Amino acid sequence: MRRITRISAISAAALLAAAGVSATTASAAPQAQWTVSNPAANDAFTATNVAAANAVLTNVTTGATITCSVYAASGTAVDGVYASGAGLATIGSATFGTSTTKCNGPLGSKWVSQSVQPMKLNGVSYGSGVTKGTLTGIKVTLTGTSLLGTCNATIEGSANTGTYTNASGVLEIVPDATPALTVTSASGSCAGLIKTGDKAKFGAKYQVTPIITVTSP
Amino acid sequence: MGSSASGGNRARRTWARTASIGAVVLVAGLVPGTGTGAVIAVDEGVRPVRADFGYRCALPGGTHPARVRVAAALPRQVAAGRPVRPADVRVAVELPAEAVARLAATGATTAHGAVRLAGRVTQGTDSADLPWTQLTAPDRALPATGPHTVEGAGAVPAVTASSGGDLTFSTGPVTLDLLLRRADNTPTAPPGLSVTCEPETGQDLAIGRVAVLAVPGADERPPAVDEPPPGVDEPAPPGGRGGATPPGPARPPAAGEDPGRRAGPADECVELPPTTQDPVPSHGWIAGFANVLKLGSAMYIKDPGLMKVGMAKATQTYQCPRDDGLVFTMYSDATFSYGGKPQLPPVPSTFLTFGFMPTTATAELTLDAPMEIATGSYFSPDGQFSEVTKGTAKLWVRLRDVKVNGTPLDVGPACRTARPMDLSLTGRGWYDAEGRPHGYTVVTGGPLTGTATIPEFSGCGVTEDLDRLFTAALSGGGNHVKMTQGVLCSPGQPEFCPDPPKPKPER
Repeated sequence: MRRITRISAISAAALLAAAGVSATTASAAPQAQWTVSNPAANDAFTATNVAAANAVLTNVTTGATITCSVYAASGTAVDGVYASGAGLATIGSATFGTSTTKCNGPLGSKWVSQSVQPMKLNGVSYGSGVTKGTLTGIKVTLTGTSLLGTCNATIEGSANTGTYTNASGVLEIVPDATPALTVTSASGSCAGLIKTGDKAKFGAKYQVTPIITVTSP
Repeated sequence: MGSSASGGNRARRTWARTASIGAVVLVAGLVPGTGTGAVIAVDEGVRPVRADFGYRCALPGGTHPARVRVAAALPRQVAAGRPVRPADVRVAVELPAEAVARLAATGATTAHGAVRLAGRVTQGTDSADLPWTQLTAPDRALPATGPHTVEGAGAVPAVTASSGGDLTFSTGPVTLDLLLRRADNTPTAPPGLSVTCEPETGQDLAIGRVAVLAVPGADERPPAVDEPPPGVDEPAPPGGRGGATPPGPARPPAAGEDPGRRAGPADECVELPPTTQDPVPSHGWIAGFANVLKLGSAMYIKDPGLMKVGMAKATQTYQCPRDDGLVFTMYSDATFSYGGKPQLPPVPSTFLTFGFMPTTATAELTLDAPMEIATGSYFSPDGQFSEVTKGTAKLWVRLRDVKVNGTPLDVGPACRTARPMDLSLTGRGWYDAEGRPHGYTVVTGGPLTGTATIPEFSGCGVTEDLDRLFTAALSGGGNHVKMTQGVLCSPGQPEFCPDPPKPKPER
């Protein structure tokens, strides 16, 4: 099996515009101190898809791809000073596709997905108002319907190529060069497109509201 | 030019000169120049040739002498490897008065049919059969007395010579298959007449010669004859756009994309072996048109046929460095179902045969084996999905209830193609940004286009052999087919079950 060693350029231009994002993970040692400042009194935030930026999930084992034009998330980012970059924010819930605007897959299949446990946003390095970091604790269920029937799958793992920009409040996740997501279950009429053990990667671009400021040290 | 030795033979005259008869067509053939990669033009100099021969024809009551004139347009010279397809081929058989009198005695007033010439093509010591089986003779009134000429015209196969040296086209046995009609349009008994004629011995059988210029590096093989000839030039393959749909921002698959193979360098992707799955049973309706190119008419499969699909019996994925392009291939098979047989509903059809004579027949199209289907699903860099579906099938074509210009013709219970017809259909479609399908998709159906080659016929006729007549009239390639498939009832689309809608075929 060939290893995929470079970032692909598949989905909306927005994902391609991730300038200067390297494919390395945690290459810089976490910096000593991180400060999170959230204007919301209750420390909450919501995130919606940046206009015209599709979220794309790619099963690198089979090549199957699912794209979502509507996706959202919500969570908390608590004001304070953190001793390390771990857990700077928590995403309590993330959804991909709605009942009216589902995600699209091959052969006209329609998909929806949601997280089933909270995820952590972790800071790895910081410079010039941009945080590079990871999203860990990902566990999402995926339900797809096609003319073959219904397919259910669960995907777990992390996304290790993320950036957050203070000026715009945009959180961008770029598909990992080394896929860090694994399909942990697949059942129903999946036609071999998603199987337990497949590796996957995903990309998305969120607009965070309110705009949270993250700096380090 | 030689003249025949034995008495009773006519001297053979052959013209092989730049003609003052009709137009001379200059066809430039391009020949690779030696070692330079440049091409040089060869003036092929197509010109008409004509030769008269003496034959003896077997008719009821004895053999009679007859004159046969063969005319064609041949190039004067070609480069080796370039096909030679004689154009404007005409084979005229002059039946002597005694033979015509026998026809008149049956009450026949008109005759039409097929002329077949089993010739040879020779180059040096190599030779090959040259079957001219698609020559048709239009309806002509028979004279009360005197001779009558039956002239067949049509497409003939191309001949390709790989080495240098003269290519000689020669005549051989000629068969006439005539359908006779009486003044009141009823058939004669028997309805037809077959006449076999052999060339007289001792005459030069050459129709014409083509000089073949040797091409350096070409491998030396005997001349090869095309099989079968198309009705007319093959039409261009269906274009890359899927169906008659409005243009949109989404990109339909390009014409070159093949569902079973990835476009691009072969070593870019690792093709994983197909994985067998449990096929998902689905069914839907299919209707459409098949043109019979030679006759300029369409067979309208108006009554939609029921198609049962075993969907996704196997899937195949690819590991590629890029994430766009062919994502996976889904393999399915399908059969038709009508009256318990794997066939489409019988199709009443009208053809204009033998020079615009209306012939009606009911055609039965029966699958020899399930149709094999491959659907390729593609993902484009701008985030759109598209798909290409290709189905291949072998279909027997059986004809019954035949009427020629209103006169019934008993073709018997087994008048069908000698082997199944190869049919290949392709449907292309895509999904727009909202996920709505356009063109042909497996999910919603749509138009599938392709071409079919109708093989020769066998088993036609009761009191005599009508195979050659049907072969001359119908067989050949380049027949454009456009079928429209309706939405499938399948487990993922229960709203279309159990009775999915029947499609209105698109032209």
